[in-house]
Parts: sequence; structure tokens; C-alpha cells
Amino acid sequence: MNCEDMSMRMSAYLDRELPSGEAKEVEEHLRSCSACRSQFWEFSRLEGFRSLLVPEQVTEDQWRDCWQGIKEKTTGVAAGSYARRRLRRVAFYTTVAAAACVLLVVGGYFLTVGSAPAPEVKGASVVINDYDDARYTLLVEDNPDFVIIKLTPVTESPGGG
Amino acid sequence: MKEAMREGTAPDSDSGDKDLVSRARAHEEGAFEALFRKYRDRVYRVVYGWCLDPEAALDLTQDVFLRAFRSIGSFKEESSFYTWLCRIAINRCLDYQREKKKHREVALEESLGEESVGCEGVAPASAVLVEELKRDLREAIDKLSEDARTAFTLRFFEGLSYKEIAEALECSVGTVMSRIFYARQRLREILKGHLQREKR
Repeated sequence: MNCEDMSMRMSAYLDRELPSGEAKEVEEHLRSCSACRSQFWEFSRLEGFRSLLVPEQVTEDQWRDCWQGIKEKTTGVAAGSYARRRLRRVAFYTTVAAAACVLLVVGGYFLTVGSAPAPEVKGASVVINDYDDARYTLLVEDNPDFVIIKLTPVTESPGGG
Repeated sequence: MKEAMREGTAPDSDSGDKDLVSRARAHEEGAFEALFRKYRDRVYRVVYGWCLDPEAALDLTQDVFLRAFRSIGSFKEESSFYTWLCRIAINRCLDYQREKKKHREVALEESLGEESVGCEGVAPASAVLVEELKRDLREAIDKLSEDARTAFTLRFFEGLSYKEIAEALECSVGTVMSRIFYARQRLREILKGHLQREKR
């Protein structure tokens, strides 16, 4: 067996993929041929380089996120409800902000505009459905010195405002 | 043989797969997740061998399992589930490589004129050499042909046997042997400088 034939066998020998007869032939050749020995040493060294590229361990959190992503993309229902839920959450907070602004403007108008005696408006409220279908009362109270904004869950009668 | 086998993941990796696969096909709760848990690390190692980037490898692993989930109905069980997963992983990696090549051409133009980051006075000489070796090793693997790289990374990073690689790539064991040999020869040529330095 010449050195050229030996090269490929050395690679397989390194991977322990040769039958024992062929492995012995490689060992004998390596003992007698310094050029192949040098090549074999380089092949072995390349294997040693693997440790330089070993990735960091993936954490359990990362795997959980990874699985969550798969689940959301493969479960139509789950993906749909997640997106819907997000949309409803945005809608809820936008409604709260808008209602607060309207109440503040209306309340502020009655308090500050005109010389007529201030009306008996002490506050105003509105009921809002949140993204989980729970109901909240948004209450804005005007006092002479400050404004109170309260967001409280509706526990009994859902009406009012 | 094979690091993965020494860790005890490979020899009995197929046991119970048939049952899990048929349950996953029937969309039974938890069946596909069990397959994911069982093979996630191994798939991660395969794709990492291709992209050499931990974050991209995690994304690619997710993609591989997504593809597997969507096409599990077409899995004919002619090979093991893991070999089938490997095939999906390799195809995804080849797509990734092509996408990356496109981006790299653009990035190369943008980086012309940028100064390289110097390490003077920061790291000791040996640490600099190790970093240099890492970079050159990545580049060398990147330069391998697709066939050689696929066979080599399955062996180098995942520790698959030639027979397992042959099954995954649907080729003969002899072909696997020559592709891995070719990859080693190329790496040896490209990294000659580093190997010579170590010899001294």
C-alpha cells in the first residue's frame, strides 16, 4: 500500500472506522513512514481544534423559548389567541388613555371656563372592558387643588359611569 | 467511538421513537415535545457545526423542528427519526449558507476601509493566537465544499458514525470516508501555519 492510499485510511483510522486488519496495516505503515506519521499527527491535531469551537451550553430558558416559538407557530389556535390577546391589550390601554383625556378636558372646562358659578360636577366616570373581559370603572374626580384618577374593578353591578 | 455515544445519547436513541412519532402524527399532546426534548441538543450540534454561531444555531434548531413538525406525516420510517431530522437540518443549513453568502457579499463591500480591531496590550500573546486560530478554523470550515462540509461536520461536531452519516446523506460509506478525508486535507492545507507552529 502506498502513501496516497494510506492517507484516506489514516483519516478513517482516526475515526475508528477501519476493520481491525486494515487498522493494523495503517499502524505498521505509520511506524515505517515519517511523512505519513507527520500527516497523521496533523489530522489528530485538527481533531483537537474541535474544543475551540464547542458552543456554550444552551440554557433551559433558551430551550423553553425555542419550544414556545415552535408551539406558537404550529398551533393555529394558540398563535391566534396570543395575537388576539395582544391586540386587545393594546386596545384596552388606548381606551383607558383616551377616556382619561376626555374626562380631564371636560372636567377642566367646567372648572376653569367662564365666570358663571361652577357647576356641581365633582367627577365623571366610564366603564371599560379590559382584554380579559373584566370590567373596570375609570373615575376622574375634580377637586379644587388636585385631580384624582381611579381605575377600579367592577365587582357588583356592571352598569354605571 | 463518538462523543455523543459516549454520553449515552446515540445507541438507544431510537427506542420509543416509533411510538412517539405515531402519537405526534396524531397530534397527541406532548408527543412532539418529547421528541423535541430528546433530540434538541443533537440537532443543535449539527446546525452549530454549520453556522458556528450559537444564536443562529438556536434559530436554525427551531426551524428544523418546525419543518419536522409540519412534515412528520410524510416521514416514512425507512430510516431512524434522528437520521430524518439530520436530513432536514442539513437542508436547512444549506439554505442558511446560501442566504449568508448573499449577505456576506454586501457586508464585504461595506467593511472595506474599516480598520481591523487590534488586540495590542489587551490579551496575552497566547490568547491572541487562540483567537486567531478560532477565526481561521471557522473560515477554513466555511471554505469546504458543501458535500465535504456536511459529512465532516456530522462527524466532527456530532460524532456520527460513517454509516449514520451515509444514511443521513443517502450515499455510500465509501463516499462518506472520502468526503471526510477530503475535508481534513483541505483544513490541513488552510491551517498549515497553525499546525507548523504547534509542531515546533
